[in-house]
Order: sequence, then C-alpha cells, then structure tokens
Amino acid sequence: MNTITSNRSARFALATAAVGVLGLSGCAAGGGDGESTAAATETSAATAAATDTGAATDGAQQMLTVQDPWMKAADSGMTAVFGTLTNDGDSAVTLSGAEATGIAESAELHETVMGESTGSTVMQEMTDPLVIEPGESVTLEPGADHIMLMDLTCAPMAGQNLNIQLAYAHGEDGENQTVKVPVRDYQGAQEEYSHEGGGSTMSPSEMPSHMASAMPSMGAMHSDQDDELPMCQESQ
Amino acid sequence: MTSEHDSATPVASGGSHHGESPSEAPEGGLNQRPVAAEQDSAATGSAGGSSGFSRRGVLIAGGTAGVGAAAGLGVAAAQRSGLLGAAGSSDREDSGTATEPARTEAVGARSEAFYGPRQAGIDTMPQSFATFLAVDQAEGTERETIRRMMRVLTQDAAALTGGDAPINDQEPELALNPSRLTVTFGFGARILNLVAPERAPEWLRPLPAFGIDQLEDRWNDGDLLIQVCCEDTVSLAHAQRVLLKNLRSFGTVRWVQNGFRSVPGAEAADPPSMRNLFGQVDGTVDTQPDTPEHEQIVWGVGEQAFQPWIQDGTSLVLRRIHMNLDTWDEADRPAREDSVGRTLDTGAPLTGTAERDEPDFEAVGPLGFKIIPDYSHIRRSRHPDDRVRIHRRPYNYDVPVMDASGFASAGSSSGGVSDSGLLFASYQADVDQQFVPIQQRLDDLDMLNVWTVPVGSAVFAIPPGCQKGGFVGDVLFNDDDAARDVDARDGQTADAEGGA
Repeated sequence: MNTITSNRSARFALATAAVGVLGLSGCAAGGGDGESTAAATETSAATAAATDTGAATDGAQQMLTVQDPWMKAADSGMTAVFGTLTNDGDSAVTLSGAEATGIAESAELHETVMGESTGSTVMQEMTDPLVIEPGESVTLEPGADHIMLMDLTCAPMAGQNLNIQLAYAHGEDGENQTVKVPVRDYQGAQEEYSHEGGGSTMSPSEMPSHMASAMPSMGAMHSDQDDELPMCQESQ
Repeated sequence: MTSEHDSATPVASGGSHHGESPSEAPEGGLNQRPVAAEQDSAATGSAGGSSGFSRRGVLIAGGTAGVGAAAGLGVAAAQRSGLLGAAGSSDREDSGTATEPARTEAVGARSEAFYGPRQAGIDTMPQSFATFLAVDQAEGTERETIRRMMRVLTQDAAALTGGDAPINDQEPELALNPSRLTVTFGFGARILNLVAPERAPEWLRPLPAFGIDQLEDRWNDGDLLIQVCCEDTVSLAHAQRVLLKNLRSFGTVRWVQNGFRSVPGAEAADPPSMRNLFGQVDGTVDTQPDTPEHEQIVWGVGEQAFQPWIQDGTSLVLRRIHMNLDTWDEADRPAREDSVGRTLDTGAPLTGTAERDEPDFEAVGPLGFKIIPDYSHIRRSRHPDDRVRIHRRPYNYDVPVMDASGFASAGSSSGGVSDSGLLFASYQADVDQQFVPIQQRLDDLDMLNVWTVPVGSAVFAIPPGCQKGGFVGDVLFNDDDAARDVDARDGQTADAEGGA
C-alpha cells in the first residue's frame, strides 16, 4: 500500500511539474531533460488523475514538484544533486532526507553556510528537516542548498538519467518520491565541507575514510586515487 | 589558364556592355535601387513623402516609421532582416498607420524552432554568423557514449535555441537573447558505424582528391559536426562555450571555423544574395526552401530525387576555400566579371540585367565569342543533369594574419596580408551524385580556380531532427533501444503505472 501510494503521488508531482515548466516558458523543456516534457504531453489526463489520487491519500502526503533537476558527474567519492523543489499543495511538506539507491551509500540534505572561523563558505548537513510551505519553492543549486550523495558506488556520467529518492517525514514510515535526474559535467560546486554544525572545515584526518579521497573539495571527485568505479546503470 | 584569360579580353569588354565602367559601378549599384526605394515608401505609407527616387527617401521613410533599431535603414531591409516584427510586415495592408510607431522586435528576441522532423540551420534563412566545429570522439567511445553525448548536446541546444539557459549554465544571462540561434549536428563515418552501421551511406567518406585541392589536415574530416549559426556573436560564443564544456568528456575539438555575412539591417533594401570577399554576389541559383526543387535537392523528396540516406536527413560538405585577394587585386573588373559570368554590381548574368535572370549560355558578342565564356564559373558549375544541384549556405571567413606583409603569390594559400576565403557549406541528398560531379566539373575547368584554393574538406551525414524528449540521432538507435529510451523518458509515470 505504501509503495502504491508513493508512486501515485510521484506521478502527481511529475504532472504538476510539467505544468509549471510550461507556465514558465514554452521552451523550458531543454532544461529538464526528457521526462518533464514527455509528461507534459499528457498533462490534462495526468492532472485529472492526480486530483483523484490526491484525495485517495487523504491529503496527508503532499509531494514536491521537481523542476530542472541535475546531478554533477563524478568518477568517485561524492557528488551533488540540484534542482528546484516546489510545494504546489495545500499543506506544508517536510523533506527529511534523500536516498540514491544503487548510486551512493548515503545521501544527505546539505546547506552552505558562512564558516564562523574561516569566513569562507562551507557546506554541512542541514540541522533541521527542510520544510516547504504551500506555494513555496526551494532552489537547490551550487553554492547553496543541495542534496549530497556520499560514498558513490558507481560513477554518474554525463548524459545519464539516474533515479534518486526524496524522503518525506510523513506518517510513521515516511514516504519516498523518485526523481529522475540527468547527469551533467560541471566544474563548480566545489564548496568546502564543514563538520556538522561546527562551522569549521574538517581536516582530512578528521574525516570519515570514505570521504577523505574526495576532500578537500568536491572538485577532487575526479581524483584518481580511488579505484575506478563502474559507470552507473540507468534504471530501466 | 593564362591564355584563356588573355583571349577573354575582348569578351570581357563585351561584358561591360551594361554601361558601367569600373569607377562608376559603385554609384551605379546604389542608383539602381530607386524601385526598391519606392517600395519602401509604399511599405510605410509614404511616410517620408518621397515620391520614390532616392536612398534619401528610404532613409526618411525608415526614420519616420519610428523604428528605433532600424532608424536610418530602409524599412524593407529591416523587415527582411528581422528588425521589424509582424506589424512591419503587414504595413502594406494598412498603409495609413505609418505615423504610428511600428512595433519593433529586437533581433535578439527572435528564435528559431529546435524540435521538428528536420534539424534547423539548413532551410533556415542564413544568420549573420556561423561557427562550424568538428569533434574527434575520445578513444573507447561506444554506442552508448554517443547516446549520452547526444542527449546532453540536444538538451543544451534546445534550451539555447529557445532563449533558455541550459540546466547547469553558469552564465545564464548570456542565453537570454537567442538571436535566431540554430544548432545543427552531423555525424561522420565513425559515429554512424558505431550507432547504425547499416545506415552509413557510401558517400560518408572524404571526397575524392581533386587537382585543385591543397588540403591541410587541420581543416579536414571529423567525427561529429556542430554547426552553430546566430545573428549575434555574443549569443553564439556562449552557445559554443556551453556545448564545448559539455563535449569535453566525450572528445576533443578537431577544428573550428568561423564565418560571417552582413548583419541584419546592414544592407540596403532588396540586396542581392550574399557577397563573398571577392565582392561577388554568391548563391544566386540556390534552391529556395519550401519549393519542390529544394525538397528534391536537399532532402531527397520527389520522383526525380536521389535517395537520401534517411528520411528527413541530408548531408553537409564543408569546403574551406582560400581566396587569394592579392592576385584577385591584379584582375580588373571586366576580367573579374568574365571569370564568373556575372556582373559584380547586381550579380546579373552577363547576358541579363537582374540577378535572377536566366543566363543565355548561347549568346555571342560582336566578335563571335560567347558572352558567358566557356571557362566561366556559372557555366562550369551548372551540370547538364538538372538533378545534379546543391544547396549552398556559405559564409565568409577572414582570420587575422600576424606579421602580415607583401603579397600572396599565385596559386598559394598563404602569404600576403590577408587570410580570407569562403566556408562553402553545401547540402544535398547524396554527396556522390550531386556534390562530387559538380566539383569534378569545376576541378576540370573554372576560371575562378586561378584565385581560389580548397584548403579544407569534410563530409557529414545530417541526421533528422527530434521531438521533445528525444535527442538528435535517436532514430538511429534500434527499435529495442528506442523503446527503452521512451520508457526512460516517461520516467516516473511509467514507474507509477508499474507500481499500481
């Protein structure tokens, strides 16, 4: 039951996202890879169905629409996912975390803050879940909030479309929403990583071993110190 | 060639029977536009009050129309070049509204469609600037690599064409003025042999060697072609940067060739076809898009057509043709017109008065010589088989020459103070059946060969366009793969149905 509900909600979210894309610009399709556009062609039907679906879930599980998601390509270590999350529903949505099954051992919501001691920006895991009020959007972008994929188990490569899961703090078991994310090469997003809440940059010796290879910045994800990871598999 | 040239002298004199000595020609060219001026005045409701005679009238008309960007230009020229929007185009119907400011549309705001059965940039009215770039795929490139690459390039190109920043564009403000940007992709033999070897046309290989060629490998061949055309160089540079950034993990740039034409609004009303740097009107006999002959020549549509390699696909032959401006300087105006068979001012055939007059190849002058000489370019380039034609979309090039001095010698492709020429972009359904026979005729005899040297040559198969959600070249991946990609495209929707 839980699985079905989640998937239906995901479908709702996708259809709504497509509407959003079209509303912004008739040509925005290029930014969001194929799936948003493909969904847009069946917007009417999907939206109608989504209304029903929304009622079927007692209105308790409102998901987010995701516009223009993308993932930075990486050979190993860690990487990040970006995009715009919008709450088109009537109630607040709490994003509690993320997963990247088959891609990374773990995923976290990160924020970028000014390091108190260094004066430079550092990134750290969000201390609180991300609450998005109805009608509000949160933009995940390089240099700001993002979803961090830790300890990659495969290499996301440019041009792939990979699934990640957004986790919501609804119900006892929570909910997941699958988002298909295009992978792109990118040289930015090299923020330094901060110890959680510490505001100071970790030295390599303080880091978990699985992160050390990717330090001191995400730019080091191209390090050849790691064993070469196989290219990620696209979901069928 | 020299003897032919000498013998041509009397005929060349005959060529000037149009009553223009070289010194008069420039003014003559301008003064030949009173008709155009009248049309301009009519188009703006005779706002200038000019009873049709002069460039000045055109200027007044254009200025009175209140067209900011087009002020000082002929309105017809502005319309033609896109400075005016729909309101400008409809002025003929409501000529009484000339006192109202014409609605303007910035060149930068104009955009071309990206998605469709055919790729843009071929039938598209040529933009002012073009960059042709070729990529060598990296070692180890596989079929799936091409799929990934074309997904990325297609999405970037589609966004940029529409005036939207691609998803990871770090200078998104530079993407906001598409300026009629088009991005066209072509495949060399290596890509087609990876993706769909059974589809690879026989002509997808280097052209046969021609006697006039002095090819330099740095301008030859390539695995992937990207043709970027735009009315604005800033937007073009940004598009190129975005595409190259995302190409980095797939291959290396083999060559880049930049070309240009006159920008919108630069030319007088109703100018002839584009001019090359020899001053010649170039491209007169090209096929016009949306005509049956164009469909036949470029896209292989029609009973008489040569078979295209794939429906809605075509081919590009890009020849880099060095033009020796120094030895061209030695040719006086009659000889220049004689070599081509057209006048320099209007581009009319030597037997006619307007650019698009049909040449009379049989006409002879007082001394019995053919008025359009046997060795003239227009006679040689016209193949007796009417199906053997091409569609040109050429651009000039003029690259900086450091420490420039002296003169380039005859037959040389270097030296002197200029490195100029033509990016001869030719589109046709079948390279071997159309381009090669014409080039062979020109290789055998063409007076222009005295001043021109092909220094680069590349052949690409242009795949069809794609629909939203697809990518350029997706039709070349087989049915199973195509189905898989559709599944991936539907993404979460498909998942949801599976889950329910």
